[in-house]
Amino acid sequence: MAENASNIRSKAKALLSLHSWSGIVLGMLLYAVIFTGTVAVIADEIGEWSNSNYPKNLLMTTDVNETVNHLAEITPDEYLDEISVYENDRQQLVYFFHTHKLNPNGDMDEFGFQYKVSPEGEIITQQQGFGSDLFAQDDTYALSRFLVSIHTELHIPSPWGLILTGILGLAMLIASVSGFMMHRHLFTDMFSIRKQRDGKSLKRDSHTVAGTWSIPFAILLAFTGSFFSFSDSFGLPAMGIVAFGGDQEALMHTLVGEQQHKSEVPKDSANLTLMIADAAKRQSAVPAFISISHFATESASLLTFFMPNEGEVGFEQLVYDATNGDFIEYKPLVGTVPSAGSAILSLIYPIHYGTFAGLFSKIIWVGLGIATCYVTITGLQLYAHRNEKGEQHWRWFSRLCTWGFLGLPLCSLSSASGFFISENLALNQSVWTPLSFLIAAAVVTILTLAIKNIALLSNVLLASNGLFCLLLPFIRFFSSGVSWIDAIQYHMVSMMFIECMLLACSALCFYRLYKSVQMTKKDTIIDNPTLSTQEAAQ
Amino acid sequence: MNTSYLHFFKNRRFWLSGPATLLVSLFIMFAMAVWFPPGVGNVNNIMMPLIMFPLIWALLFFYTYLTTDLRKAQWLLVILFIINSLILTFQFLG
Repeated sequence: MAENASNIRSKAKALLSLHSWSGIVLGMLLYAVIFTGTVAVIADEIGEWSNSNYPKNLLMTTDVNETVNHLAEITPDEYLDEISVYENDRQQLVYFFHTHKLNPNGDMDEFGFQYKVSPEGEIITQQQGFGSDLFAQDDTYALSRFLVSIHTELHIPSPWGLILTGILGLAMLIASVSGFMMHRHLFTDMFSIRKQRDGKSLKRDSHTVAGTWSIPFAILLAFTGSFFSFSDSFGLPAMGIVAFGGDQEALMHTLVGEQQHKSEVPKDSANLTLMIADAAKRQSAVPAFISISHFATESASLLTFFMPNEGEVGFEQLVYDATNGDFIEYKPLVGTVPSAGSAILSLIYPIHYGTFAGLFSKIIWVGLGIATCYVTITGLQLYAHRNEKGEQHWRWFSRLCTWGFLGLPLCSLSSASGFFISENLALNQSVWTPLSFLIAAAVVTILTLAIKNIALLSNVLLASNGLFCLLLPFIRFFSSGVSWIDAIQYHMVSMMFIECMLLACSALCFYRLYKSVQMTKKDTIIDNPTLSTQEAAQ
Repeated sequence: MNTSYLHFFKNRRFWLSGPATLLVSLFIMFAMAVWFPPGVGNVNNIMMPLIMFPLIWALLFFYTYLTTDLRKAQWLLVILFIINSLILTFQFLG
């Protein structure tokens, strides 16, 4: 009996040690990935907000068939292999006529002509290049792309960034599973912030409560996140080596579900606009993008891709025979027929990014993301607090925590400001967005080194965050001229949502600043009773 | 640097739960591409190992980290390593 109790105690101790170390060793990077992941959940909304825009459903309201035929005439035949079409955040349709070939990095990439077309069918820009380069230089997505890329690969060159975020996912899995296993009173811990507690005890209770609520979410995100990172970085190529003897093209054909040998005999295509309308009618939604394969040949087909729709969690793909306009099938995400692998895969993305119920599920995901950020922050602060008492030199850890926790949001806000200001000055937004982040990071680092008092440093960074959150809606307004009245008039929900979030964050920052100043005043009075007596007398 | 920070390198559990578990999990994932039924869609043997990799790793990690019988855990990893290595060897050379 005694041996059993001792065994349980030793396992509990081992779990606590594992929970602490998994959080501490990679805690700061984990916070960066979780914070930017919370932002990535609303990346589409940030894209619309940063361009002061709203989707005009151009795939439905313009004559895609006519435009494709016109562009096909001016594009070399070799790029008619595949044509992708989507609406960008500047109310333009982007047509990319491409084929596939190796890019200078040695990766299989799309290569061809990209046309940006206005709603009236006028070509605004025309560029030739690799798909990855064209997307990386597209100013429309400069802000959302930059923020999402921190989340997915921390801006570290491929595949190392993905491998690192995969390892961080596993560390998060360890921290959350060990946190779950440590709980002896799971339901009590969900509500137990003890009264008359402050400082470290309050922080510990807050860490436990926020952690308990977000455990299922954290496990789910850690699992799906590490799947994304590992499969993209080395998993898929490794599967190609084992299952297809290294033939990566055969692997891609199996996954995409495409026949390897297609007829290239010329044949007129049916009306694409009618096929898109039919797909939209079947799904009661507008496709996110369409892809036309082997245009104007006997093998021509059209794929329409839909984001999760009402009552559905996964993506939907409808395929049409583009030679006669007949609907062929609901195509699985991978392979040619429905399978367990495809079903699970189509669930992973919506679960990871909370896209399964529109803005409603995204708000819940953002809330849980903030809770997980809070758990990481309080976890590291608890560790810093514990070591600070024993050893003075551990104060650098508290300073590092303040630098990271308040610095990262400030740098992200600064990158958004850089995006708007560079647009006004007609500068390259794809360059100035990350550059603004780096400039802010340098300033935050200098402040962290220069301000000796950590409480003062924290207050300065908090005030800066609050100020940026307050100013950004105004900067956006002066940049685009689109006001809240316009936003209401054109149902620009994403724009209003992001600006409400910014104003709420600003209010929260200033409230925390007020509480912090109050706390400092209280501590000064306690430390200096003579002063308090004098103040009382006054 | 204080050498007390590096004591875990001498710990057998560190090597079992760390590098050994990672290596065995990777081998299981690769070998699954060979023996997992591909299904009618012919993609399950590619997708399922990728999806299951974090779960396999977590399961082996927590087992090797929490077990009191390290010898048993060590043999389990050795057996899994040998079986999956043999499957991969037959796939490439067989």
